[in-house]
Amino acid sequence: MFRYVLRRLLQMLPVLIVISIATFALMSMVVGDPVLVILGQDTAADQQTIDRMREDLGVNRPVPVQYLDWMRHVLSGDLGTSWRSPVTVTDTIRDRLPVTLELTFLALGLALAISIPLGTLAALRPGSPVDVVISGLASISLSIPNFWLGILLIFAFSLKLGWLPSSGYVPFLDDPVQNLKLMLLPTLTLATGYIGSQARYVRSSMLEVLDQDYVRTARAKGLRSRAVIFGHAMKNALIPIVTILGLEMGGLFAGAVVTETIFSLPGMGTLIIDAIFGRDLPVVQGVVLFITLMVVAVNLVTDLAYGLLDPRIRAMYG
Amino acid sequence: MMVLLILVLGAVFAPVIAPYSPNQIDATARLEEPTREHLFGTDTLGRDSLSRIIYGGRISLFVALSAVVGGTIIGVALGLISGYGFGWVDSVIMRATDGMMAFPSLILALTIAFALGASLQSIIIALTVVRIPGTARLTRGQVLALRNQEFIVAASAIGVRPPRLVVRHFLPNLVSIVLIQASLGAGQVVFAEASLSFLGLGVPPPTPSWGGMLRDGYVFLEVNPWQSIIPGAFIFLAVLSFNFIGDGLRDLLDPRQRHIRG
Repeated sequence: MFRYVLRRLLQMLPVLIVISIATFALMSMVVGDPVLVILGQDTAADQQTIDRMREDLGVNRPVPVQYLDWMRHVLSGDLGTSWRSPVTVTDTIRDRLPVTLELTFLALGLALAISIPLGTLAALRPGSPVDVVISGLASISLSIPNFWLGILLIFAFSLKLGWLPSSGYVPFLDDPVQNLKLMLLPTLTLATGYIGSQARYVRSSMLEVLDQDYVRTARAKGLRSRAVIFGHAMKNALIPIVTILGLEMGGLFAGAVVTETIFSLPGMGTLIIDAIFGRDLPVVQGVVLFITLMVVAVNLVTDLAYGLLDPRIRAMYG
Repeated sequence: MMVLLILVLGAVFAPVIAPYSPNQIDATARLEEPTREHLFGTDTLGRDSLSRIIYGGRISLFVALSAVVGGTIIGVALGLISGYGFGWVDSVIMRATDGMMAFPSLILALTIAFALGASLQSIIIALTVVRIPGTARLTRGQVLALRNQEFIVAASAIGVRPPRLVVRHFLPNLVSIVLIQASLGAGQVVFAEASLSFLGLGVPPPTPSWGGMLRDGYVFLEVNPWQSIIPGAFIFLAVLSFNFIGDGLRDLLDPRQRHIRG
């Protein structure tokens, strides 16, 4: 197991380097002089001030030097300071992160709670009307644009029925009921696509497992269908789902960007969009890097979990 | 399939069938509900929504086509190079795709579109780049699986040169899997383009796009929900039909999937 973990960690190193270079390079490509972005195009500042600002920002040095300097700061946890306000990027992320985490976890939980039973049900009788309906619904839910769904939900539940608020955020600890009320529609919006894709994965994984010898053995020795499915098949069918969850984490964050925008939730998504429109480079850079690192970390954890859950993987690396 | 055909025809013949010019402003008919003159109603500036939907489809499908074709060509080329060339070339390409795939695709597209500035071109470039790593990995995997197959070994044993080997022996065996990937990808690109436009980082106005129309309409949800419902429905239909075609192709072309899907 130790060698497996070590191997995975070493594999991550080049990925991290590519990510940091790509993030930095993209940002340096942004058209325009950073100083003019901060001060505004028609600034009254004289050349001396501008030069001094360039010096302070360090943008007058060669790009590779800037990159190494930036990396040194990043490695010590310093993502720089916003150009638009005196707050550090790290602090801003710390403020916004809980909202996004709550949204993604609620959505993930909801998606799993619905997709696992549906996928299993569909796999039990492939080709049956139940399967056809579930698979059809899965295709539809996969193709619904999440922003459109969000708007339809607001229209139906907030504007027409007036049951739920359409936007805003209250921290869970301040007012749990209001928090969940506000999060319900965003969660539904974000979860729908995942219900479809997860249900498909659960179905095909389940079908594969149900075809295995050990399931046939379990049935042959006279176990009840229920015991076979929950005791033997389910456990094995869900192992690959863990990996897929990890892989879909990135998409989930991207979906959160859109969802937060529709429901005006103060999370990482609205942070990056606002920063993009404000051309606030350090914030965009910091958030992109942070989100990507989180995705990589989640993937690492799911891979390790996979190793723990499946002795066959561990055996491969001795 | 039919739906897609109609959308494509609509996009190609937009100037002929659109009842109005997409940017023609009629200040007397703003935010109208659907009527006989304006089947899908009008937007805040009094522009005819049906015409804008038809022209918007042009943009969406054009972006999807360009990004998928571009992404596929570059991705397949990289995948072939990577799978065929051992050693450091393969390592470099694979580590680069690893790194790119670590970025959530919408975030990567957002960042590229931001870096290049909002324009039709930068959207296409952003979405093409997003398509490359997945296609490259898929192709590489196929090439690695193929290169030990007897017919390839036999072909190279009788002295078939690498360029001919790639064109005559590898590519035909890659077509089906790449085609499936491309058609599922087209749905994703339509979706991504609409997301970017919805977030305000897509094709700049006044050019009509479905995502942009949804963005404009959404502000007036209370006054006139049609302006949000209709463009979204078109995005949904386009994505759904690409996904159906992709799934259909997979069932048709990939016999391994058949027994799994029952």
